[in-house]
Amino acid sequence: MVGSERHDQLSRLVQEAQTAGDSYQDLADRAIDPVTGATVSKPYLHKLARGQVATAPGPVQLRAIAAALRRPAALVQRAAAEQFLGWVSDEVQGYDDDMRVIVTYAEAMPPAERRRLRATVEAWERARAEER
Amino acid sequence: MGNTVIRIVYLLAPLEPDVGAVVRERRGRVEVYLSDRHHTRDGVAALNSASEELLAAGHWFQLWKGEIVSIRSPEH
Repeated sequence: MVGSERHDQLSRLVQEAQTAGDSYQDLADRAIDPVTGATVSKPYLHKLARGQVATAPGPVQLRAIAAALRRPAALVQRAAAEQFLGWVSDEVQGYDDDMRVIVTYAEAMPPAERRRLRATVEAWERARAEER
Repeated sequence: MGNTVIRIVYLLAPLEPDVGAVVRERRGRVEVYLSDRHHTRDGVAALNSASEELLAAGHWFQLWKGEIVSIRSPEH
């Protein structure tokens, strides 16, 4: 069932690097995206290892993390997808009896953003109606 | 398609990054919007989750070779 699996694949990659002898400072020193030169900070890596990062890192951050871990970017991207893209589905309340709307969202989505889901769906529906 | 009692339509949509799928269900029509941001693997997982929630409402039944069946059939 969705929601019952453990989603910490990317966090475990960082933990494994640390267990193998790299300090967070070592990781941060190497965490440079080879494409843009953007970096990922030591506190961010620490939070990531402890499972305290709520939203999925973007492509730039993932490449920097791959460089820090000295692991292939594809492997790090897959771990991030597995950790952050567990899906949860809920009915959006407030529609009439003739219509039901279900939204599937990332399990890691913060509660405040989940509460804004109906507004998100309605804004998207309005945009879609205007395109017609 | 004149005798169709249920129609299911799958569409790609520019959903928010943390949203995998949106299902709009009306009498006789189900629209499933899948995010165009995610790869197939994640889209399939989102679709499975959305389908589970959709069927949990018990709004639909189906005929299997002339017999009404449900996901909670006592024979299974």
